[in-house]
Amino acid sequence: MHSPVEQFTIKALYALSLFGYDISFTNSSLFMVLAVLVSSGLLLIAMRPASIIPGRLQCFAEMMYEFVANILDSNVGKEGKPYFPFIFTLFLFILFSNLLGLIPYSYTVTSQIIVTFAMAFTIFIGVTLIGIFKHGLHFFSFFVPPGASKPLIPLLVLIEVISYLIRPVSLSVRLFANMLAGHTMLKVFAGLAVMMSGAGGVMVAGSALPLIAIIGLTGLELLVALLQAYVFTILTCMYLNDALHLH
Amino acid sequence: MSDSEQKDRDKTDKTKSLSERIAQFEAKTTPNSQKRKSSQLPAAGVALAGRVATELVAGIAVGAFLGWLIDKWLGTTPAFMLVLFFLGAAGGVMNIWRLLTGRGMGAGYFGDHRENKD
Repeated sequence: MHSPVEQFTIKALYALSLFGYDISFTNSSLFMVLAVLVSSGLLLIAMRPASIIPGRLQCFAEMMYEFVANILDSNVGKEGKPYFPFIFTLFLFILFSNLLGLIPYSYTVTSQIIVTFAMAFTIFIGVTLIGIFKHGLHFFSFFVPPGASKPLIPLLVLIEVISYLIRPVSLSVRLFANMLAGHTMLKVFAGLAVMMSGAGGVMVAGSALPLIAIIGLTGLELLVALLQAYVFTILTCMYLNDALHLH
Repeated sequence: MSDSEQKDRDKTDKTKSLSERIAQFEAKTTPNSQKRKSSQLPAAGVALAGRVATELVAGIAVGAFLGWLIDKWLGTTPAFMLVLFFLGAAGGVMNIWRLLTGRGMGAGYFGDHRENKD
């Protein structure tokens, strides 16, 4: 009987080390590479004909492009255009990591907090630097709430700074927790089905119930995979918007 | 005579519809503040509910972690951890308040500062 969290173990597929650090090529790295290859390969193949009347695949590629372009446009506006390649890449990478993880026997990259945190923290640092470069030291004045009474200001600034530092954590925890919980739930129901069919008697017929539940849950997980990629992207756009438009 | 009149009318119709189409296209491409606030997916409500919960948990976690780091550095365990635990919770609530009052996730109050100046 496998534990429901066994699917999240990282296994080294090819052991490597550099200056005493373990940089082995793991199943996690493999699925990151796969997500990059599948997403970029799909887009390259889809846009190969580049016809005026798009086929199915080209339609798909164009819809993806327009979806992300719309998110960026409605959240950041014209000034966000230079950041489109980054946002589009981010969206596709998270989307395909989530979707590839739903294939049985595969590995969900985004179910590891370090992966999502690395992405969120990079965005956090980048957005803060953009804000400082664009607005100089004026950037820091936004930690002071307007109209606050003087004695309260030190406390309020402290809370503001902490609430700013929370951003990368909540951004990464949201994606990681959703993927972790969903996949654990799927495995729990699958384990239940196996145990019931092994118990014999009436239980064998009853094992159909968890199996039906798995079908429904897989549909739900598909929604979560899409939704979390969308949420991560839209929040990145919002943070970018804050950094660009601090007047 | 009536033939050329007909042609003229066609022409004006065409230019009119073209200018209408240009206006439509421009309305689509230029972002307006009204459009910015509306969410794009019907599932965005589900996403919002999840965000409120994570914001609270993350606030407490970040506060406690920062406090633990400062304590380790200064050797004052557990003073800073206790204080920052509560400040972290306050920060989390602040983020939720900002989210629900339509300030977006922006830290700071630049919009408010500007309104006061005007």
